[in-house]
Amino acid sequence: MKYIFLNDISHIFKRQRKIFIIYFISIIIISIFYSIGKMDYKEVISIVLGNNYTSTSLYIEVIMYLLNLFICIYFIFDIYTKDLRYQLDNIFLRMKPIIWIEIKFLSFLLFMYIFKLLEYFIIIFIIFLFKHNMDFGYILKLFITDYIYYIFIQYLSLMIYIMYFLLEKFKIFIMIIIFIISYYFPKNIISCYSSLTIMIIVLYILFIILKILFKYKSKKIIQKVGKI
Amino acid sequence: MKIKLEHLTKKINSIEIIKNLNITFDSGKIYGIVGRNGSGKSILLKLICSFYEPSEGKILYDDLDINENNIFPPNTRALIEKPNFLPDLTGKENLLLLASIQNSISDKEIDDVLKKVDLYDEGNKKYYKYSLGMKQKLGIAQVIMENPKVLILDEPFNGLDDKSAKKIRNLLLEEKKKGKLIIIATHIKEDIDTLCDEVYRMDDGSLKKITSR
Repeated sequence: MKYIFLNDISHIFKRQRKIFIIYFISIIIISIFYSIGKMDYKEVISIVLGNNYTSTSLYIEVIMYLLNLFICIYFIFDIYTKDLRYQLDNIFLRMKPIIWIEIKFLSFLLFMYIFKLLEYFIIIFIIFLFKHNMDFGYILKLFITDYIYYIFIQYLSLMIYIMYFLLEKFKIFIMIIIFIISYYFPKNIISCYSSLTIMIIVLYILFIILKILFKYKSKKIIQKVGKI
Repeated sequence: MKIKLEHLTKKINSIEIIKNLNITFDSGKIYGIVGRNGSGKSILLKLICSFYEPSEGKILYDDLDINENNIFPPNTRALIEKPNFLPDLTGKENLLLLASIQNSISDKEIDDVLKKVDLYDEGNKKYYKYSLGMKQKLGIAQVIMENPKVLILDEPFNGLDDKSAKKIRNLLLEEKKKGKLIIIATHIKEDIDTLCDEVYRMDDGSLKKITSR
């Protein structure tokens, strides 16, 4: 666990530092900009995180939702594929792929938890400088929903990514599935609070499928997804 | 330990990179594979390590077909392409971290392996401050530290000065005496001439024995 987690953290902070800095600078600027005005703190959080997407949302809210989505999906692809590309001899000659996928899952949950915690801390700190009347119970609820929503999306995307390479003959079919999911998947994160249990159950099922895939198809996945 | 390649063929995008190889590697010997860059040496090593699945044929580790059983080779360590370590940790911390995966060796054993590759004095230096040769030696240290039965090394002498290369050659000869099976790939034949029991030339996906002792 220690090796995988430190490796992931080191990779993100060393190799993806620019993305990190750009992202955090943009949320800091947007948080300050909207906190200065008369907007309610809930509205400011919604804009910065893009988590209250509706058909009447501001452009900035849509952009922030897409930015968050892009960063989270990019993180999971990057963190998983770097092991399949550059860490083969260090990892797979020392541990079974099924053990790797279990540890990686825990490591990634921890990484995303730290990332989201840092993100929320920065945003709430900035908003608190301008607006003191905040309901921290609401923020906690938002944090939990946000965290599970993105973890769910990340593993769903990872699963589709792996299947895309494993089922080469069905690429068009998988593209259609991606389109359908993108269209129908709920984009308003706040409203997903009532569906958290379902998300956790589906996430667990995705994890079990990943384990099965790595138990029986690990070499094919390494070869196709890692592109060694 | 014995590694047997039976009719091993690897195609990538319908191009045959490895062509019907039949060869047995025995323990207590050092095997060299020479060939120009792009001749398929690294792909062969990746096949032996089971990071690639063969298109045809088998790889048997002591009669165990690793691909049929969907496992990675037991008791094997490899250094393929460049060593991969965490830049902000010291050389020793990197080895300790890797060793923590299997938890099979002690701190003292790591010190010993650092001494063997002549890195003990630099063991507490951050990895990003290492020269290319030191990085390579640390890579070799991670291969031998857990006392595996099979060592697979891709261009192990890259970046090493003459003194270090001699040290590593002696180290590999010591490992051979312990009964290890060692496979080395390099594009410079002179690097392994005095070291190997058998040397093969890889050309256009085929192996041809060129030296045998």
